[in-house]
Amino acid sequence: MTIKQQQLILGIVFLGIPLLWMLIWVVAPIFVVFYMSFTTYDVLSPMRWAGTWNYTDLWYDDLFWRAIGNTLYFTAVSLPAGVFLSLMLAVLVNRQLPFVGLFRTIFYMPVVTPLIAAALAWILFYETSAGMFNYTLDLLGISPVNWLNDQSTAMPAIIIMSVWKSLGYNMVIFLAALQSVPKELGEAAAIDGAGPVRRFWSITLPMLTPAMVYVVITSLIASFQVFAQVRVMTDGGPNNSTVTIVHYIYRTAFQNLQFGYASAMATIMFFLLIVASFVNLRLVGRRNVYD
Amino acid sequence: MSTIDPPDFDRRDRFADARVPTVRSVKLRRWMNNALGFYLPATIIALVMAFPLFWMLSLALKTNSQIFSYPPRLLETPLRWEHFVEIWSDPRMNIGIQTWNTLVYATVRTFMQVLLSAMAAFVLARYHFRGRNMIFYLVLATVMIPHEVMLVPLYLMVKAVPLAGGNDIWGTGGSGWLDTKAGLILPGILSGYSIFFLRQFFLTIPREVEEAARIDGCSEFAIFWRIAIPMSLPALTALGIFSFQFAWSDYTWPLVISTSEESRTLQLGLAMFSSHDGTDWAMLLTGAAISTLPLIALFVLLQRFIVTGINFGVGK
Repeated sequence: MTIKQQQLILGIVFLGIPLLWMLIWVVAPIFVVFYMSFTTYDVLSPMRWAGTWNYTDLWYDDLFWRAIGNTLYFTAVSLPAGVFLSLMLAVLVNRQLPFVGLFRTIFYMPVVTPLIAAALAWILFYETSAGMFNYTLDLLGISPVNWLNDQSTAMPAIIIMSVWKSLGYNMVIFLAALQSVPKELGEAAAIDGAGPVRRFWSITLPMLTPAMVYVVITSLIASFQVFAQVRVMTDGGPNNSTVTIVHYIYRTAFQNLQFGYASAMATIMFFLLIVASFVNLRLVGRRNVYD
Repeated sequence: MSTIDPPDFDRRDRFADARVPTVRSVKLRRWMNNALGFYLPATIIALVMAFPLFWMLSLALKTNSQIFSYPPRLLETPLRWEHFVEIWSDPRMNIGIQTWNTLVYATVRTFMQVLLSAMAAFVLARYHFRGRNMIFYLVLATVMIPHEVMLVPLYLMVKAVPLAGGNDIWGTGGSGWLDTKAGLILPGILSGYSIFFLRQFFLTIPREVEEAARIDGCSEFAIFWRIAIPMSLPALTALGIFSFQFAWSDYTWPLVISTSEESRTLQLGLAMFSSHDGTDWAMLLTGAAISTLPLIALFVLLQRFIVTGINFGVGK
């Protein structure tokens, strides 16, 4: 066989199998979910065409709006807090000192921990009568808080846990970006009389833009999809104060067997994410380093 | 008698000492800077970050009544290490089977993901043909799709796999791949991200290496298998670790697919310690700790690859 023939066969086989697989299990489901959002289907009886009724129902579904509100609340707090804290951590460990590697390792460890295992430990942290949080509050003379069983504190409790879980990952990304910032830039600015805060703001931060875009988009997608910790820690309660979009999709599809209705929610969530990602690209990406 | 005092050299030196910093005072100041600017805050943060993990282990080593005693104590003696033995024969969770299922899920999925992604990435990086960039961008676009959006269609598609689980050729009548290892593993073995990740790495292999091998009579397959693969071991390892971690900790997909011991994984099995009669927290946290330890161990052993992997995936 000539090289050309070999390349042709190899190319078709090597590219064909993975692409076919992706077509079936990644691309097709998108069209399926889009199609199903116009039907009613409960697995037991045949699928029926429903036109845009699912979307009309969603418009009047208070719980769906509640789920969107809760998800936005989760995102609006956990995203800035997570980005800010992980950037601070990265700045902290971006130096050459003995044991700095040990600290980086410890900061990264929550990322490696399975979410469910971590959530279980945090449930007992938040426990009302014997939990560590309330014990600490007690020492400070503050009366105990009913963390996971109180409408006003359940979501913040989940947010704190989620931020803890993902700080290390974003820290590593920022750390890599920080290490690629040329030292000469900072030194030149220091000679010109710029203080440390000013140097960070005007030199380091703009150089971090690509990493920032990446971190914000991935965190955005992740926080829109928050589900497992909600399911384990509160299962949407108390009084639906922690129901998120994916939690509601899961409940609608796999507990109430309303697959069409759940697909309509998934479709809306998909478009929300696309729009949010593009807005973010425009907003954060505009501060381009090379402008 | 007037005598002239001898010049007080000593004093003058001491005076000078205060103005011009000596090597020693510079060192002291740097030490203070490091201690206050880094070691002190870093230690406090490290304690906060690691505490939940320590707490998980500490609770697993307590009895149920000690877990809820007030005030909470860091460690109770005697440490109940026997929980880590008893859990393996506890009929509620079946942790043995679930560990095996999780291991199979994570290992098979990781191997297939690395192999298939490497194949596609190799062609996309090394061969020139019409539509190559088009295909690459389409693959990349799939990264934008959140997996959770596709839970519903994936579930129905897995249920409708033809000629499996009692299904006829049209995929109706039976349960398809639901509640099987195939259904658990196969739908998730490829992602646009892993292909993108390896493609970036394959691009960095110098053209000359490939040409030299070809002149020596290397077949095209051998160029992939004996040159591209060995040269990208760090990237393959990084991808493998990520994939393994993800599958091992995965909760949502098993939750949707698995209903019996045939395919239930560790993360789902933990829930078995909660029932209407209450929750056996000691055993639950023992199970949680057991499901965490392999990942922590893997991370500590291979962290070099993990950091390289993250940087590489983002940087290029």
